[in-house]
Amino acid sequence: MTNSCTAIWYDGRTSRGAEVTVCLDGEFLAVCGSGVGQRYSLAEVRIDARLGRMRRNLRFPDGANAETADDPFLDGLLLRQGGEGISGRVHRWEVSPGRIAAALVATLLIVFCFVRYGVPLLAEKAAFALPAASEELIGRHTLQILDRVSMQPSALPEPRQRELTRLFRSMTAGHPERRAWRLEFRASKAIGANAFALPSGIVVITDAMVALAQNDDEIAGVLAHEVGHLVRRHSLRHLLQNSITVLLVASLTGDIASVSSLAATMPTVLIDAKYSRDFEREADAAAVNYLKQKGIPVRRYAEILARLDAEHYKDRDAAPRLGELLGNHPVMLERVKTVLAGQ
Amino acid sequence: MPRVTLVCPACNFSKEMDAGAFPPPGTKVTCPVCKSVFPLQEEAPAGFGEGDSAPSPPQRESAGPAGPAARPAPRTLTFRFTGNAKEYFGIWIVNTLLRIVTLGLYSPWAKVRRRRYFYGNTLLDGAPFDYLADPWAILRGWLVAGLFFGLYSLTSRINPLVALGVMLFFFCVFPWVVVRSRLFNLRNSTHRNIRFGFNPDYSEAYRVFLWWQLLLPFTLGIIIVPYVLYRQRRFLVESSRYGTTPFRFHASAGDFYRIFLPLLVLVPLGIGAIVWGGFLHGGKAALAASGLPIALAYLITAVYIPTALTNLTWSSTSLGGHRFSCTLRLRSLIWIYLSNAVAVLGTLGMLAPWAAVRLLRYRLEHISASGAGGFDAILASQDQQVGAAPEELGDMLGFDLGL
Repeated sequence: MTNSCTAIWYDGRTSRGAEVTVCLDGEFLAVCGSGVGQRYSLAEVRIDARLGRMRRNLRFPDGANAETADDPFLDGLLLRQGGEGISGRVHRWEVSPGRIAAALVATLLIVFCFVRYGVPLLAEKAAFALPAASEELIGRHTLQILDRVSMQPSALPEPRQRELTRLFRSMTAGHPERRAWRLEFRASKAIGANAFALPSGIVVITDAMVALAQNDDEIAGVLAHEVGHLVRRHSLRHLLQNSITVLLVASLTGDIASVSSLAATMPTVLIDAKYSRDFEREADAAAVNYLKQKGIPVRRYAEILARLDAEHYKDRDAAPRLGELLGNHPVMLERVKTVLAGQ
Repeated sequence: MPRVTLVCPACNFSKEMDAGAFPPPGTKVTCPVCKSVFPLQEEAPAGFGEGDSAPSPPQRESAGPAGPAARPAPRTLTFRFTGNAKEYFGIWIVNTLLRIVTLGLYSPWAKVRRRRYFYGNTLLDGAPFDYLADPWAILRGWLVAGLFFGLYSLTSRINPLVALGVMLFFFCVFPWVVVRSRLFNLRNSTHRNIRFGFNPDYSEAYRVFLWWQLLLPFTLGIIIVPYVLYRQRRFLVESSRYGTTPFRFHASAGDFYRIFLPLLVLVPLGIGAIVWGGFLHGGKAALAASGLPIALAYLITAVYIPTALTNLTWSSTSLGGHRFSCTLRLRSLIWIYLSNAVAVLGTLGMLAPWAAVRLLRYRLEHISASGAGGFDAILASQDQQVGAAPEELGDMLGFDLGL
């Protein structure tokens, strides 16, 4: 080990630097140069741990600094003081390619596992813990926005609406917590044949969906599917999962310009598609369950799913939509198969 | 009668005059060229002895920074960034992993480490900066901010009126928060072992960050926005100092209005395009026509205005005998932002460190300071020799909002 190093001395009173030599002399550090002559007890000197290839400082008790690039000398001093401390250990992880790779793999693994298993669990807990008033607010606002943006009042005749409402009621009756649930009829060019569930127990069915069904057994299957979504609070969980994931990804990559960190949240779309598939599967199982209970052939539900699929393919240009590329759509065929297997 | 030379610390304009006619030290004088006001230094007349036959003594240690001693030739000092993306990637990934496994509690340490790396690799005239903040102080600040945020979200669920009260409270303490966070960050930044500092002038802070801000909705916003920005920037720059040497601000409100001048043309043009597309063509043409102004508006608010403000603010700032200059180019910045976004997006965030280093390097390499000598005659501020109690208090309250 060398016993001295050259350094730039800043006395902490003016910004002027001076070239000095720092020598180790027993338990003391001697600083000497033109106009500088100081002696400090080594124990009182704070020594920067390594960080990158930065020049490091010896920080003396009187506020003076000596800046040097002589890393071996400083490392030796640190050893004498009793080790390099935590930040020294952190530094060794930061510079070793192997450990960087290990940290990278560990980080990706933890984030993946958390997003895949932790976030859904968290969202589920939160969805069931959320006060009814908040859920109601979310449901009502969502419906309002949809009404304004893409839905029109239904053109379905009043008696038909009453019939279907009765069918829906037969599914909610006998469960006190489902008392406020309601079925809404809407017409929508943009949405097409569809039915969906919103937070706080709102099920929306479009006129095109009602027209697509060949009998009420099929509609019963569709409504049972939506009720399945409601029971498991899927739409709320979906909302929460997305928010948590975006927040997480943004906070992990967040120490950069805002444009880039916003962009970094985009891959969550991929994860989102996975969530929706799990939810659809759960709701399908609920529908199959309901139909079996009522003695309705499960085939009926599979048939309307298949017809819905064909309908979506029909009125669309040849180019596949983004949703399909991300795995949202091709799953329909699989769903039909699963439903049929459940007969 | 000996002659002395008087030099403006801001623009280096110099003027010779009779020593007898020299006003008493401490008198404030106005530079005839750049109009900046500066006090005459105690030892000024003697130190100015360029016209004197006696050789001037080595002055630079004793004279204040504004005291233009025997004038060395003006030169340009540049900023340089010596870090690189590969090195920073290691720091970043270890920081990220530690933050995850400690459930975020490591964040203040990660932040200090990141800042130390960026500061320590930023060289001005060959000498690095240093960041000395205590992670514990940052953690305390975060806990206070978290407490406040929790209070807000809790009350907003119980009673919207209470939440409004909390919001109003935040609005009222905002100027104070600005000052404290600026104070915390500057006091913990050093260069050549001299700390930066900030003079906490709360009345001016409330004037520019609350009073003028409150006026915005009542006047036609756009008319006074440049003026408010001018006052805020001037306040932030002029309250800052390096050691004992204050930063000076030379821009005028007119310069700020000039930045917003293109909006006078672009805003009516954009509205016109939407109206034209909407009424005359309808449908898809309207959509296409309105897309362009929206993209343009984003570009203007997110890139053009901040860039122009940064350029103006730095280029109007001087420290001692040095005037800064900042020449960020809009075209280059747009390219960096876009390509950074694509790179980060395409690699699931893995190129984030590279993007951060790249942006910082570009920014630093377009700032320089020119003037006489180097920054090597700055005196440390006296207030550091005062006890640590106010500093501790400042640290405790000095949570960083990343302003």
